[in-house]
Amino acid sequence: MNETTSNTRLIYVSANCIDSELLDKEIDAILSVAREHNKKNNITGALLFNSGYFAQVLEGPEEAVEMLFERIQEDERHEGCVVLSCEEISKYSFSEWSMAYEGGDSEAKTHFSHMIKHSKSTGEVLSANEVFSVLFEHINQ
Amino acid sequence: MSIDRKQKKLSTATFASYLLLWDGHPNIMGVAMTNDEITEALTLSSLNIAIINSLNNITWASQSFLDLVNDKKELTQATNLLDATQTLFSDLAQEKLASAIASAKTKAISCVCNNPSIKNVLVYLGDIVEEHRVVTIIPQSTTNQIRNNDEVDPLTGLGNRKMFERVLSSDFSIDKTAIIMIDLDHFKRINDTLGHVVGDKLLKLVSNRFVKLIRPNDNFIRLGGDEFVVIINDNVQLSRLKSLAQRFVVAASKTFVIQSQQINIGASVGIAVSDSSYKHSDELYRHADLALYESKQLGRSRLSVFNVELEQRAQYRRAIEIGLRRGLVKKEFSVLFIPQIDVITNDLSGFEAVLKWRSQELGLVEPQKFIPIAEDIGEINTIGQWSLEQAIQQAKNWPSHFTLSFSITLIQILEDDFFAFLTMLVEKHTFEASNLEIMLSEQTLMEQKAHKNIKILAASGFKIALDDPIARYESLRHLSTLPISRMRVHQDFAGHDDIIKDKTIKSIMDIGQMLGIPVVAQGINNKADFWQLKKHGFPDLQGFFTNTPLSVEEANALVSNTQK
Repeated sequence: MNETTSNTRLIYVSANCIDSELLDKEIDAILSVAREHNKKNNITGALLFNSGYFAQVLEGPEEAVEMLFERIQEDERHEGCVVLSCEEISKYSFSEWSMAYEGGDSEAKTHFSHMIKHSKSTGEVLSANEVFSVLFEHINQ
Repeated sequence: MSIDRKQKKLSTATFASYLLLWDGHPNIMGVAMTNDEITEALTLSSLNIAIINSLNNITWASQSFLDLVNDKKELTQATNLLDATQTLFSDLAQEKLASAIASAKTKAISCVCNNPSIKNVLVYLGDIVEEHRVVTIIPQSTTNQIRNNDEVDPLTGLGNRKMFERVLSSDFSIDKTAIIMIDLDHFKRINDTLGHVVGDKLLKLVSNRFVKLIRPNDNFIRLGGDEFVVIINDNVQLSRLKSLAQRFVVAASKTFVIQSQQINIGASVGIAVSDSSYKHSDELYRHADLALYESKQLGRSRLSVFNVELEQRAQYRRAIEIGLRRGLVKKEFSVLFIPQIDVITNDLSGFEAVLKWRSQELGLVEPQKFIPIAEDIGEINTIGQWSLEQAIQQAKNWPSHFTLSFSITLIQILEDDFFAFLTMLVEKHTFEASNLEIMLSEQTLMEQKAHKNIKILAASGFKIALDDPIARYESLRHLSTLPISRMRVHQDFAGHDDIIKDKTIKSIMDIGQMLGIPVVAQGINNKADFWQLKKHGFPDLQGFFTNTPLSVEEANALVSNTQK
């Protein structure tokens, strides 16, 4: 089994289950665990959060992303995980980041909230491109 | 983690010639010969392995070991093994470990973990060599229930059929055992479209998800393919079994990501709980399987609990299956003839041949009950061919203008040699093809695959009839018995021929009028077209839906325009 490992980019959105008073602490915990784990497993990515939803981009070796996504789906801090896109990539877009974060009062969050609201009211599915480009623009600038 | 690389090297050096590697079960994988090889092998391996000294302090540990016991506290060289495992292990497990260490012998003990994703492990304590010994922690999923290596499914690490048979025969208890069968929905499709490597990976991931839901004492087994079974032997309440089953369904329904591809499947689950009526465990297994089948029938991705009705239905069906296979030999089938009268001449114009089955065991069985089963088990062609020949043998003696009508199922008409058989039959009995009318159901007509064979039959002179139009949805039958307030007729109802289209719409309008149900039209672009339609032959038409769907904004704009 000496194949060169392929890399995957996975984008998903999910609904937040964390109580608002615990939010800051939990997000910190998520990020610190993610950063430690991701560094070890060559995974990079970005997490976008507004009070209602998470959107996350994960990039890394195929197998590592597979296993990580299994763990993520077990996490009870979110639910209704929807994969927006999953594809093989030749180049990392968040190579600087083990887990970049956009939340709080950032502009990205506002934009993201708008997208979520928009998609909810019209029944359109939030597109992977939108999530990706919002994160990419705000994190890689 | 403050055990540094230097210390790692130092400690391993002491053990260069003694360290053995284990592959998860206590089988020797190999002996590493040099320090570098050992260090590399250990770094790469996912073994949870550590070396402790005579004070039971950890002098070296693999990264996996550190990850496993990691309680976010600093682990130092002096950390006692029991301190390190304190967060991971239950109190009882800690006690077991303490006494095992004290005994100073090679020992394997099974410990329950506090970490729900690991549940229980086997701790292997090696020989003491130069005052040091190796500690390996082997995660056990369900393996504590597995007695021998030949009871392991190599793909998933779960128990295999051998273990299933052993557990069912030795641990079955009529008042305590329950069986949960799990079958993945559409798994074959994944294998067919994405290949077996992805399929196998999927089975591993699903197994991992499932294993996390069960208790260490439950027997979790992969029977083969995508079929899993849990045998629970400690009298668990049905409500708890159902909630476990529901969690299997939910776990399987979450997205999988394999080789950069999104994969979605589901799981159907069947539950059977034993009681005093059970004499043998096989019966319980069969009942769980029947419940699983019921889940599949009811639309998959759900659970069903076995009940007596499922058994009765299955037994009746089985009796029909067996009866069908024996019926011809036992001469239980006969062909009856329904006369057809020409109303103009008031004369007999032919017969429809119908199959009758009077089973010795079941009595008279209606065709609508046994034909679908005959189709399922592949007996339809034998029975169909026999009855067709019987009918033709009779009909060849009738006046030459008589029609013999005969119903043919979809499966028969799709059969490659059906046409050859029919041609052979009419030749053998010197029967005119044009005297044979083949009756097809609407379902057959709707199947594109059948169209080629229908055309071949017609081209050879056989007559084709449509039996019981609009029967498939039975809508006409229910119009007068259900509270239907309105019917909508589609413009494309009968293809593009205007005359046929108009006549079809007209006949639906007639039915509506007869039953007092208003009819509206679909697919009309504007009011002018509608009034045109209404004026030309459809005065009862009550309204219409336009062709173009609008967005929320457009719809709202239309509403406010209309209200102005």
